[in-house]
Amino acid sequence: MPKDDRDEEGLRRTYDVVVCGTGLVQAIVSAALARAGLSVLHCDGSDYYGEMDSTWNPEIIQEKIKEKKSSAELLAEVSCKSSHIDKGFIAMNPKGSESNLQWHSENKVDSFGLDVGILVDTPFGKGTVVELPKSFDESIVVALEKWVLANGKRSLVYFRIPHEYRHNSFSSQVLEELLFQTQGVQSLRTAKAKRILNDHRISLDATPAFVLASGRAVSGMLASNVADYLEFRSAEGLFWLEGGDLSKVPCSKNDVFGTKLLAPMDKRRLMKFIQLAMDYATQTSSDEERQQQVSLETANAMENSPDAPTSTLETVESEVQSLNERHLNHGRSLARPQNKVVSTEALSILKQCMDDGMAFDTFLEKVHKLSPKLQAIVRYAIAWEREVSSVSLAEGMENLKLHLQAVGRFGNTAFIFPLYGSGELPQAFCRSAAVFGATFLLRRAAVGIKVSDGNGVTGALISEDNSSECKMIECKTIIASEASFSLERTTRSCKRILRRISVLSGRVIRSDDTDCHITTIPPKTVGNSHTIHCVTLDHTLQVVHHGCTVMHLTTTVECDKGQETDDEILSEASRMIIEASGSQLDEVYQVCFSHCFEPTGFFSVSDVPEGLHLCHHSGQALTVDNAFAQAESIFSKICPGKDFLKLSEDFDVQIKERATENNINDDEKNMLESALDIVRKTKENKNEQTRG
Amino acid sequence: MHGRNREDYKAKFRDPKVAAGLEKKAQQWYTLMDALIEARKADNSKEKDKRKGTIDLIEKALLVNPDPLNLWNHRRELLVLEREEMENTDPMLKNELDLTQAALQRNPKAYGSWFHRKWILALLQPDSSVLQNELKLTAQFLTLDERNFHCWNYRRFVVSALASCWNGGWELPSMGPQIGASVNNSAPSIPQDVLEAEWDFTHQKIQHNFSNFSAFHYRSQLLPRMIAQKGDEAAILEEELQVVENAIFTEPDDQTAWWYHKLLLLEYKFEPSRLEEQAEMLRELLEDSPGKWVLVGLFEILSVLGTRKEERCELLKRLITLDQDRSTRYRELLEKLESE
Repeated sequence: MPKDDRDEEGLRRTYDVVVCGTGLVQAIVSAALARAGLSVLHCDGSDYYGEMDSTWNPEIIQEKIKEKKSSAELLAEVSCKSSHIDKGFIAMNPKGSESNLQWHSENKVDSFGLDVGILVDTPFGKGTVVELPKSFDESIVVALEKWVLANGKRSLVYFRIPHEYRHNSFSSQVLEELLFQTQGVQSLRTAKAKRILNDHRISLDATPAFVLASGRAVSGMLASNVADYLEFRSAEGLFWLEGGDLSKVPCSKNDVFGTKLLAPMDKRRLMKFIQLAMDYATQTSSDEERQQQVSLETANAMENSPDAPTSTLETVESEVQSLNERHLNHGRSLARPQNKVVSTEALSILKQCMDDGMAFDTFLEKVHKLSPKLQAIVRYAIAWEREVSSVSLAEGMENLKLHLQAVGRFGNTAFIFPLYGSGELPQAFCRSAAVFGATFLLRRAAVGIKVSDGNGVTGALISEDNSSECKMIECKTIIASEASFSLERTTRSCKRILRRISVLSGRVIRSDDTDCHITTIPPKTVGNSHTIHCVTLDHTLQVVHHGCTVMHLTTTVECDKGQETDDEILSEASRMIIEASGSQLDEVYQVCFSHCFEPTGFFSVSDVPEGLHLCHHSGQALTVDNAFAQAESIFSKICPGKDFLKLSEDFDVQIKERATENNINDDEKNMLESALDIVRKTKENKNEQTRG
Repeated sequence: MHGRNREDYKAKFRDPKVAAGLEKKAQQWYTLMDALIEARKADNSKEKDKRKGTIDLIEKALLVNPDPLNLWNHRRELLVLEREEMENTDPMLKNELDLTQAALQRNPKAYGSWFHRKWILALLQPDSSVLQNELKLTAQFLTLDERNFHCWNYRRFVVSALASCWNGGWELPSMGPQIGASVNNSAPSIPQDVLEAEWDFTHQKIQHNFSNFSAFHYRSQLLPRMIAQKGDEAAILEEELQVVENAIFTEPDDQTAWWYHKLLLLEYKFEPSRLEEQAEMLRELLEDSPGKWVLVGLFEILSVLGTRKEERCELLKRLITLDQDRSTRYRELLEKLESE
């Protein structure tokens, strides 16, 4: 590269692609483009990666809440600094996809006050409060645990606040704070809360991102080797909250067998339905495979085969039978016994109902005769439905297919979660992009794009940290979040994602060894129009202090123009879950926010400038698989015909060769060689002896 | 190791590089075998360091391939001699346990390794703490593959060794699994806590995957002992019936639960009303999933009850058409029933 092509910062004048914002979709596309050999400039206005897919902590959140500047003010600042704002300029919000983020509440509780009977820590050991003072003149009396007097009673200690610390207001909290400062006495509850909050490990996901154990996301991460940068844990189980009880969602054979939720005949009906869903999954995926093969063959042979591939009932039957074997590892928990007779009747009924456009809930009720309770569990917890009005049968079956095919691939459920928080995902893809040559600029937001007369992208305007001038980068392709084109907080009525994150002082679900669970709360439980997803993550995911839990509650709300979002729903849901868990849990930290995820409608479909690719928020979803689908479609528009996220063949060969060279780890070989060494030595000894 | 495609596994060895590597290993293996056969023929096992050398060599060979029984036999011959000269046998026990464990991790289904492990325990008769540890180890092995019947057999051997330890001495009549169904006086009684732990262990394994003949078999062996010790026969049997019902309704075509069901029906007495209730449940199930095992199960229940001859005949007729491989058997049953 000639030197004059780069400016004083080392940036080129021209890039193939400028990616604005480091949200997950952008990060994946960026990695794929860099791999495909395009020059990529990737910028983000924040000093961390991920935007709404990032992982925050309380400090970051507090800074964000304090940031009062409105988007319009930010833009005004940019425009007075820049000479580029003229005809053909479209302004962007420097906050990117965080543009319409709205904070509802934030609360830290690190003092619970003192009361008679509570446990406190004193300089003389642990003890129980026996008497509380009514004013500063009286003492607090603590019975020490480990000091027993001759008469069998516990020894008492008296603590009083020194004169110089006393002031007018006297309350339980004030007393606790002063006692801690002057005497080192503190309730255990408060001490624990402080420990949790002072731990640097609190990771709060802006969007908690589960990954389906088999699907686009996993195959993308494996194909690109981005998986090497990440560690995952599998979710322990799915739960269902109804009538104040938490119960395990039966989604595998063993769950159905073990659950106390269902009567025998209900178990049979549910198993039958789940098996049908598996057969459907099996059959549709082998149909897809076959079609891919056929299209490959025709592409190779360049001739049209006269008999188009049709899936007759016989082929379906043989596939369903053989597939049970083939996928034993994946969905082993759902596979039939090997000698089971398969009837294709249920499958053809399903096909018929799909063609008739039946709704998913009608199918469950009328055709499979599931009880209302089972219907709700299947719809909301297994097929991920979010609203009371049911989706079409085809969509419901597609969701079931995705879910059930992934069950049991890693761990007991279909889901895996990244250690250290969801923010690791965009970060890992950015890292991979950088490895393949992409240039990253943090704290530098894209503030606008430049469009030619023919409505084609010609450049991106990047804000500067210090200098007064913004920088124009020439490019023909830009990827940006659609939300960043809305300059003001949306005033239209729109659907918003409402999320409440809390840090709890104990574990919510204690039936498993660790707490990494998804709990579904069906619609209409606490006045919620959509399901509430509750994700509980404990310290084994490295997101919080030992023995504690981060709980994410997410739902979708519809807001009319100007109306305040109702965040009371999630506080209520949180109370219900804590109550149902049956443990004594303190909510030490709590934050609630919402953001609009519907398109802002800034561009109509026809007037999106050529070369500008928009990514959208996928709405309330448990998994991030949709981000991969979006990224793939954007990538294929920019690089048609190229492999998405695949390692180049050269790399592949190199890696394979390295693996075969790694014979050092072949312990069979080592063992044999050392044994033969011994044999050789004893023979030599013998020969020497005979010679001697 | 279940559910893997044999063809995929074999295809790995068709790669010329892999094949060449294996060829070389095979050559080395044969040289090693020749050396060991020679050592056995030379019969210099009386000389201590030569014996030690051979034992080490065998160990290496077994770590590569735990299958050849002659190697294990040779090793045992030498170990018996070795032991006579030893005061403290702890290092020998540890070494043999480590060796068999490593061999089993390589091939969890090698008969030789499992037998050798039993043999060394019986030879050195360690105290119960070693045996308790063995229980933990089998539990680990069974999480890797809950259907490894070798491991189940070994576990039963360890439990019976524990029982005889508890009863004041190591007396093992044979090397097979020791816990028999009969609760006669000669069989060593199992300590209550061990029995209950074992009972819970089978329960846990069945909950994990009920398609597990080994676990159900062990449970059937423990059941009479549980009843003898707890005394509350009706409650225990009711629990078993419910396990069976749950399994049957979850997957009526899985033979495992039906096998246990038949055992319960034939070996134990139930209230006729309870059986009637179950028959009714099965009739409902039959409408939903008319499979062979439901028909057989219902037939068994009605046979135990001794009622409803016509229904039983009807069931047999359905079975004759449904399960043609065994139609002669059903015909015979039908003739017998009709002539009653």
